[in-house]
Amino acid sequence: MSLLDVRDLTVRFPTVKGPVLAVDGLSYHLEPGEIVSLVGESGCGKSVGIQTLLGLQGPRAKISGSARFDGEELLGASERKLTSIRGKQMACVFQDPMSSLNPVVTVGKQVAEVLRRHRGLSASKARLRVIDLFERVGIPAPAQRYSAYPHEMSGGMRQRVMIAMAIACEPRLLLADEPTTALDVTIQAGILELLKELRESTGMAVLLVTHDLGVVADIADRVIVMYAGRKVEEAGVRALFNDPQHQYTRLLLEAIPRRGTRSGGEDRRLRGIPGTVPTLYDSPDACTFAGRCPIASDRCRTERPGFTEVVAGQAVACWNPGDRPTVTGTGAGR
Amino acid sequence: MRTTENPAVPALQVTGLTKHFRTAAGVVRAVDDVSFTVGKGEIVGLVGESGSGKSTVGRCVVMLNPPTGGSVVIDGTEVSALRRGRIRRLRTGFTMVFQDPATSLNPRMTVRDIVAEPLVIHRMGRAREHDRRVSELLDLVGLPDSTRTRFPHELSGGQRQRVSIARALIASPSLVVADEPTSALDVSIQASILNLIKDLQRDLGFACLFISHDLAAVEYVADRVLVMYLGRVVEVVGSEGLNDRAAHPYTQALVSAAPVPDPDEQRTRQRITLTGDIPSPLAPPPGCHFHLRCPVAQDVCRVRPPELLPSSEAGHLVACHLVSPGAGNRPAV
Repeated sequence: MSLLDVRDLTVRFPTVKGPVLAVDGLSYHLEPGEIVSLVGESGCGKSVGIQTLLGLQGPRAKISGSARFDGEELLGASERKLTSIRGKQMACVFQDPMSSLNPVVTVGKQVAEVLRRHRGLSASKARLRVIDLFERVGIPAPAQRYSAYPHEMSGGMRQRVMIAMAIACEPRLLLADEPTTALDVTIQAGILELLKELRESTGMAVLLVTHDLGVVADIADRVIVMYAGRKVEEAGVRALFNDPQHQYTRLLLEAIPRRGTRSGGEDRRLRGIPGTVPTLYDSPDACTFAGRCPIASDRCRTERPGFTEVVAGQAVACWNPGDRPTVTGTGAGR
Repeated sequence: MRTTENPAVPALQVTGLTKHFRTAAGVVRAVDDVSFTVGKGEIVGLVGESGSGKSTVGRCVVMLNPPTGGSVVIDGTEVSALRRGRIRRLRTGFTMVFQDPATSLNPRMTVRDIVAEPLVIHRMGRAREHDRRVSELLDLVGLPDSTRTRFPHELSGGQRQRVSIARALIASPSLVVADEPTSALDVSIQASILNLIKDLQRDLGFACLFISHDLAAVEYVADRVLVMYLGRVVEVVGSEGLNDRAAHPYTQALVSAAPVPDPDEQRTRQRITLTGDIPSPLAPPPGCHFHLRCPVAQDVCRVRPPELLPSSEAGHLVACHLVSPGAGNRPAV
């Protein structure tokens, strides 16, 4: 049994223009100790996809499908049941640590609260354990830092506090939504190392939502690429970067500036993807990327591609997987 | 501002630029003795992490924040010595593109009015000519002419940034300061905007100071890169040499920390992990500002600030005691 098994998750948000389809039939699974990355651009549904697991999608969202954590259904579960799972077996880290921490309570006390609540530790025992955790996530002078307020710490240190809080009860699954996006690269490198180290030492699985393919290349075992609410490709990290099968994945990889490209003489020109992500109100009988795809055929516009495995471990929702445009430069954005 | 004919006069010359901000907690030394030039028609990248002072340099250059000390000379005119009214009249010559087009465009103005505003403010030409120029500029930045009647909220992030660029260029400036122009955009849109800036710069020949935290983006558009750390420039290097020739330990760490979108390379390459955080600009450390985090710092680094000196390669400058001037040898990190 998978640690996390999400099947056919669909999330709609009512708006004045009608219900917007944020996630459209998303299925994925996560095994213990695995680091899986949900990647995509803004509006692809990657964050909504994990908020739903925590019951944080807001009261107006309409959700269908199933999400089982260790066999237990999360969607529609009672608040009481969710509370017992959240923080204890499944914890989360968000993008902006400043807005996730209480500004008027010391960081140590905030982490201790988790231990007192879920583990029933006494105040003094919780304190010792928190100092221990701070040391483990690389916060210097942990005993002094216990009584610091969030505003007295840097962004990188605050994110370490969030991670300490998340791992306090040794969760089996860490949901991380853009955990390093607000941080500088030299700080990001340390946080990514820490996540990898925690996975090694505790066997915790990580579901990492990010838009940064550099971060994915660094840390993920398996990658799920999302576009306009749908999963378009899923593969092991090496296969995805070395041999992308979906046009969107391929174009996304070609759009990232890379270093060292100047040294080889001729400049490598970047290619943007023309057009914008559509806002969907209904699930179209078509590929949602067809409007921007350089090799879209009539079939792509009239029939939704199923999600099928092309090679072992690499699956794609595309009618023409692996194909390349015949004329190079087609669809190159200025 | 008319571009001076003399090609020897750089588009921008910054000398000893210093900017202090008074706050309740004390004086923030955001920029500390920064000097550099941007040649005519050159794109110079300015990289650094948060708190490095890179944005403040950009804002001082266009006089949005008047410098505390030092001089800013744009196209032969020392703008930092002028009064506000005079600077205002020269503003057509140097413009800025901001990070977030959603907050830098007036939501109640149409695209036409936003783009034409510099011409209106500076009383350049008549309304009919403004219309013609707006059409030209929209075409240049790759927007259909029908965009002119739209409001910013009707546009996507990428389209909005194209509008900001059109506004920045309509009065034919000789210098454009772009402060993180692609950081708020998705990857697929970012690539198009980077290409647009490169193409427009090549076609129109303005000089550009391109400020970003993204090394790869800077390397892609800029000819030269300045690396800043805690208010000072630590290295100036040709962008093709950023990967291999970076000599300052901070630049090397920065290059090594930025993840490469290639799992095979990313997981095998050697990395320098920095400990600690960027110190507070309220109380920068003595000596080299980087010595607290530097893996190779010596006693001299803790006492004496290093000067930005030429290495063996033309145009390559390094501010590090451990890189001997003229030699270009790298400290063993």
